[in-house]
Amino acid sequence: METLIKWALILFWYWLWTVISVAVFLYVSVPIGMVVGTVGVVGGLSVVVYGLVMVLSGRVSPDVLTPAGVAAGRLPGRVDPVHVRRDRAWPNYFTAQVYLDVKAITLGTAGLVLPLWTRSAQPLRTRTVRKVFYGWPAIAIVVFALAGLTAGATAALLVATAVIAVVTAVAWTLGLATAAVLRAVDRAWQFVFRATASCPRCYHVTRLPAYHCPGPHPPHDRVAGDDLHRDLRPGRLGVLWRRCACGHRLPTTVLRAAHGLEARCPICTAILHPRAGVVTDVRVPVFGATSSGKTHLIVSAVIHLLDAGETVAVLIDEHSRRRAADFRSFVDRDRGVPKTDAATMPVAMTLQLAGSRPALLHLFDAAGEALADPAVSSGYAYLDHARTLIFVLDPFSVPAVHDRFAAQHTAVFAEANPAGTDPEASYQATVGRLRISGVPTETQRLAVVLTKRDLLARLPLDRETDGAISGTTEPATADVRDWLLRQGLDNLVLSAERDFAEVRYFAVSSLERSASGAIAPVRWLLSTDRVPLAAPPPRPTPPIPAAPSINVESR
Amino acid sequence: MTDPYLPPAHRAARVVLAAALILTTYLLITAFIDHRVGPGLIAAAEHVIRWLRSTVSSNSDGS
Repeated sequence: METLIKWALILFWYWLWTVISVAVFLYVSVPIGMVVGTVGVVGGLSVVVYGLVMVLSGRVSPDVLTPAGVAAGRLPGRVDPVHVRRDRAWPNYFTAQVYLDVKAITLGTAGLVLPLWTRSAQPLRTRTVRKVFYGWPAIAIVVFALAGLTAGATAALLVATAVIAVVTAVAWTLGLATAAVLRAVDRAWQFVFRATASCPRCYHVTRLPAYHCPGPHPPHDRVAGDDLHRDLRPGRLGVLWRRCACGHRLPTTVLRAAHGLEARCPICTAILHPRAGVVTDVRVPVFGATSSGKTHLIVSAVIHLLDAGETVAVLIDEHSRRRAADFRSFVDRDRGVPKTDAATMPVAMTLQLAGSRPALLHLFDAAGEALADPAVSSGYAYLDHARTLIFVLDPFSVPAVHDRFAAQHTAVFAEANPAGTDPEASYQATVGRLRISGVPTETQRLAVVLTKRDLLARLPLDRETDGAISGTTEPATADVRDWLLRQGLDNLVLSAERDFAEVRYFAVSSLERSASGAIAPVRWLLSTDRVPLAAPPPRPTPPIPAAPSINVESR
Repeated sequence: MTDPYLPPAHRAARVVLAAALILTTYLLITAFIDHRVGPGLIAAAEHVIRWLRSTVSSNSDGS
């Protein structure tokens, strides 16, 4: 009975305390909780505002995506394999850093709020259930405060994140549109002007050269190639400009970069010609048999262009200038130019053509025996990237001419130093290599150039049938073609016209410096690339000698 | 700890974000003071308190 009464009293006490505690909760804890909760909300807002101020003002350092991180692959997005990796440059703020900043603010806020919950819950772990039962209205006040703090912080974070998301979305929209327009302008310019950049060393042709940053890079950056920007197009690393790891600001389009930055080959990092990638790039491989007159033809054409003055053409690199000077000295001394070295890779003579449509003209000269060797010529990648080619044909190596005149005109033949290889064999050696490499020759144009015309004129050709070839005026393409057919080269002519989209025939003398000389096939090939040669400036008219004074009195 | 280096474009973008946040805060406070947001929040709070009170009183009446 006594136990029963005791339990009844206990139950009554619990009931009574429940009623009292609920009343305390409703009439004490809730009003106080509303106040402290409001204070908590304000506190939560303040925490987020504090975090925003600290991060956005740069007073605390969140995780910063640096150029080293970009190069290490931390910036998302696809990287073309030809660019190896992303360039060492600062990413656009809204492509990466904004997320890291939001993350830092969120983690900072959570780092302040969550420990308050755990620290406040700490005493409860050591209290008995009975004490918690008696103290829950007081605990509720703390919960109100913490809930207010959390709610305020969460709301502020949500609002801040929403605002940042809107600004980021606007920045992305504007950035994507601007980048697309800039890329399209770059590509359209290159398409219209047939502008590409070709490497003089490895013959790689690209629309997007790598650019060397002129900023203050340490020597190991230069050695490792970390100062090269392989993909300077507008993108995640900058829309209008990009900031190199060294702090230097670089323009983002090829059109703008070409005016101030040094272009490099993206494959071998050789220095490319100035304005490569923005001016028309005309690559003209010259092929033919050994001693057919390829080098003479090129030299004569180059000297013709240079003699027209700087308003027409200038040599653009040291190699071309040195070679032209060497050739000119040989020509001036009336000596044949030395034989082209078959052991070295051909390096083009490059001229910058002025005029209404600036262009870079690359004339590639390879040794005939190297072109005849498939193992060697397979490395001449410049053959694969040409839109136009010149095939040099030595008339003294044509069997019909040789058989008819060699015995009686040994002096002329000795001076001509005829090519040792049959013209058709030398043609097939190079064109066959092109077709095996999958080069669509049917889209290319070919100039067939009959050289040594001055020596040919010294042979007793038939004036009626061969007058156009041996005469002083420039022969028409049909005349040269007919002459080749009459010499039994119909197979060569038919092959050329079948293999190429357009074939034109020339007969030139490399000694001839007029428009009908070696420049004629080059002029035609340039015109097919819509590059007109500028007219040379008018030469100053010699002063008219003063009329002798007439002494009237002496008459 | 302070940032060792950040490009000017990053700093400018952060200024833009700060300006957008300040503008949003201003608009929210203005809306609150202009009784567009404030009364709604106060009414919601009053509704919750009334619901709590009615729940508690109905429970105590039932007991």
